[in-house]
Amino acid sequence: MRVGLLSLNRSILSPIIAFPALWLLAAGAALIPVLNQQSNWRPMMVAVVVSVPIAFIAGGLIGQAITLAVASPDRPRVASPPGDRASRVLILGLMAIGLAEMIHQFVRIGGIPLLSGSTDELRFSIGGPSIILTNLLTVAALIAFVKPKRLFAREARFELIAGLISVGSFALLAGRGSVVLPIVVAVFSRWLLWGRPSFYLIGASVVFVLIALSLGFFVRLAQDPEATFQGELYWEILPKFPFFLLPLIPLYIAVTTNFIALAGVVGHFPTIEPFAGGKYNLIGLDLFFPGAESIADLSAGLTPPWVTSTIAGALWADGGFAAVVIGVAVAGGLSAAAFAASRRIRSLRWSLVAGYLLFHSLFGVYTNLWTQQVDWLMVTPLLYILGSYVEKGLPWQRAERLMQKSS
Amino acid sequence: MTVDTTTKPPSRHLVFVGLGALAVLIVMTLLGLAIQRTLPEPYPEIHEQSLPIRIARARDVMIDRNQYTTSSRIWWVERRNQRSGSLYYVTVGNDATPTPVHYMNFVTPGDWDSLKFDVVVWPPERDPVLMVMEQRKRNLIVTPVRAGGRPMRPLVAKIPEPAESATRDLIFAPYDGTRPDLFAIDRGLDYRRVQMIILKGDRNLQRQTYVLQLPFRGLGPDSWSVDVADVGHRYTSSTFFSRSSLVLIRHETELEHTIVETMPGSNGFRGFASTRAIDAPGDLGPRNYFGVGQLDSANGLFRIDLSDRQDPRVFVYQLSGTVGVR
Repeated sequence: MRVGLLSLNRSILSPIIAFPALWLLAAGAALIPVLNQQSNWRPMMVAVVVSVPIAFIAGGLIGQAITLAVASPDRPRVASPPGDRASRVLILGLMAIGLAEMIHQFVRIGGIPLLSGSTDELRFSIGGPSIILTNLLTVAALIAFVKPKRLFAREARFELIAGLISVGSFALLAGRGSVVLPIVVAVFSRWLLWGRPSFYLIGASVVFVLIALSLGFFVRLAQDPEATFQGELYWEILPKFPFFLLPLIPLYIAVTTNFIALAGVVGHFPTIEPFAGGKYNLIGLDLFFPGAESIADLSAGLTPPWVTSTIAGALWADGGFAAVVIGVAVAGGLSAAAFAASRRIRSLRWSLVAGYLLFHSLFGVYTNLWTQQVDWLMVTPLLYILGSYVEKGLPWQRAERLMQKSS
Repeated sequence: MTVDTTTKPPSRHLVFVGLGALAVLIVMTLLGLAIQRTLPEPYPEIHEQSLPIRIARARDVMIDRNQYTTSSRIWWVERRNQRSGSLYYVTVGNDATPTPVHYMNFVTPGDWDSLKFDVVVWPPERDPVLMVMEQRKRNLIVTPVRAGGRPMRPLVAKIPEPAESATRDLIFAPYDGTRPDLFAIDRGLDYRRVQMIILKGDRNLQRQTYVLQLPFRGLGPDSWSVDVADVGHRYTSSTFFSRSSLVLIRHETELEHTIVETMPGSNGFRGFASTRAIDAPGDLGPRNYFGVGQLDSANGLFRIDLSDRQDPRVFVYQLSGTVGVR
């Protein structure tokens, strides 16, 4: 059966459906005035907000068309059984390197952020070129979580524990994003490879994420009760809402404040400063480009305390409309092409890549992971290459098989 | 799950979809660039000129907003001795380096450290008058000094000393009446909002027209300069007054450009009418003086750079432009 563009994009996991839907939902919510900082969008801000999903869809369609035109159809290829020794050695090897780097970071900063009294101080001290090795933990967790058809089965116990250890080690860094990423990407990738999970599981996951987000939000606010925003929230915003809507307020704030920061960036360039010409999108490669700067640092002065300005913020700051349209289209193209490949070639490797890039696309409602954290440049090829190995067997296994055949 | 198990060539509709999406992207980019062209960009520099080396000795530098020449004069006060000083000026124009004109010598009413100066047209006097201002504990004593150095009767404004560590700017500018009013702006404190008092010139500074707490704190003199001038913000026909606006100039090391913000007097200084960069770096260093003046009858922001004592210069930046879609 042939996979057409129309049938391809009937899935909610299609990036050109999921991202524009989430974007429009978030932008619509941002138009409901709740916070003092919210103001009417200027025409240029409206133009940017409207252009983002259109550029994403256009780029995504190009990516899908190219993929469907050039990718050879392949027989379904799934991972080797959970008990496969070589893939478990691979997962252990990735974990060993990743955990060694994690320990190196803890020694370097003199403590474990999650267990320390000065969590934020230690968290922001983490860094150095070797930090990229912690990405191997993400790769290990994803392969471990996605490879078994039944993750909670007895024979997949090794993979489940290995994945949880990898994710748990990120929790020691006290960062939310690096913990959420492997879990959400694993859900996407399993959905693509093994089919849609049950509605009960999806519903339970949504409720769990909402509760975690809500609790985390209020706990974090309680750490600094004297801040200006806390005063506005507790005295002006929360009393306006009935109690059953209160758990949704953190979600609303998490989504809408990114548009406040984006409006600040759009108003700032080029009126206050000329477009930066790449400075804000090279921050992910600041080791090679020392002049690169974080758009979050700029937003901290423009629209404090809101510093994340969606996928469009850094792009607008660097080149205005042209950069937004081209940048968002490229993101859409990459993500949608990987999705099309995962549907055309049912395989572990493409499911991992498509799930990972879909997460990056959806995160565009919050910030631009494509340029602000370029881990994807390392993780995506690794997922593809190591996913292939797990499917086909590792090189030495293939050599053994060939030798057996020839003999 | 739908899986392709055939090896058919790419269908024509894929090509159409791909090309159509590409066309959409190109049209969007071109449209966006067209809209973007209407955005205001930093105010450009329109004039640069050397100043006489003598100005580097200035105790205070002022730019007049006069109506008697098409281009503003840059005035400066030099200290002669403990009790007297001299006032000089140059007119900004086409000369490579204008010759300084000695306007007057004057006697100071008090200690130099407590004095501030401004040059204004003070009816019925026709020639510019030097305002020598001495802050005392309870009052501000303003002595107008006519051309030739003859002091007039001192004016007593009932404004006490500013809070400790605060910076007080004293600027004469038209607001309400035939004579310019005196704006006293107290700033530079992190814990207190900036305060502005307007003293009525027509009443010899004995009456306060306005006392305003501006909606921000700080504005320390290291990174902010302040001026009061008519920069042409007129909102509606009902608020048409030639009232001066508050002009805030922000110059900080981390900024790529110096930024100019204006709060219009015609609107009661409620909110910002414009925030724009000027084509000058943010990191300007000490001894840069800012003020609104005129160049060929048009408003401009003057920057007098005395950081290099051997090469003092004035830069003028355009202060108007088409405001497009923001």
